[in-house]
Amino acid sequence: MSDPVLINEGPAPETPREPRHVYTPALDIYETSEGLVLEADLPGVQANHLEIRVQDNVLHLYGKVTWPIAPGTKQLHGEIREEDFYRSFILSDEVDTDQITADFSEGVLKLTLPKAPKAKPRKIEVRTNKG
Amino acid sequence: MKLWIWRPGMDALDDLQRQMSRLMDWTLNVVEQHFAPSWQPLPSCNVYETETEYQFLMPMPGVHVQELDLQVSGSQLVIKGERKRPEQIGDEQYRRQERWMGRWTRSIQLPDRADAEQIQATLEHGLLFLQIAKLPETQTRQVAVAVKAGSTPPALPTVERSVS
Repeated sequence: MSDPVLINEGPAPETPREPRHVYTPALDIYETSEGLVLEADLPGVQANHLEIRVQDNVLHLYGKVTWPIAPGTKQLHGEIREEDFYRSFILSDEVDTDQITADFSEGVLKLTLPKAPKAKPRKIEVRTNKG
Repeated sequence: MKLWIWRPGMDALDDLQRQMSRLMDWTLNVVEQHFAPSWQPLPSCNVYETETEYQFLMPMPGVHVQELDLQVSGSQLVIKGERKRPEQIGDEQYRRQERWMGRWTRSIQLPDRADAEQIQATLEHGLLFLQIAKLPETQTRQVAVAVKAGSTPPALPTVERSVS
């Protein structure tokens, strides 16, 4: 069910291109032994309309929202608007930005941010001079 | 000459403190009573109308088909669902929790012309999309209702008027 998501690392994010109102997606972040996992709610975003960019240790998330409502349909009641999602984070040094992977299904993005090798706990042997 | 009524300053401060704490208690009480029920998750809903159908759109990211239950009772559409946290993740592992989780129920009054027999539901990209067919428009009928005068006279005080 999950679609592969491309993670671009490169030039400044161009999106959102035109000034549009965007929603800030709700997200959870939890820590595992491997690193951090980020889960964000992006309902109405299709996998090919999701952009994840890492630039200068800043992670940008941009999701274009598409609703199955034909333009011009008469609205009787409205609580939300068809607006895109955008959010950015500063990644700490402990994240290995080259190893970030993403999974996207049912409108939920799951980003795995592995710890850089240096951030992993390392056991230091203590040598004693005996004899 | 101006006259000032002297009051010890400390009394006034004491009084202010008492009043402020009463106000705070009252505010907290009101907040608890009015907002506590809405802390449970509740998906938003937009309603649209076309020539042939009504359309309902509800975002529910991360909800699977098997965790969703739709029932029509009378003219009420009741949608129940649940979203669970990943079980293997302990509370102490979370650094941030913003997404709503848990069970929720939302009841929606169907429009008069909605045909409850013909509801199509699709769950895709975290959006629940309902298409409800419209019943043919009911003809407005004009019915003349005969009004009969009651046999018993109204027990109202009578006012006699003399016309000069």
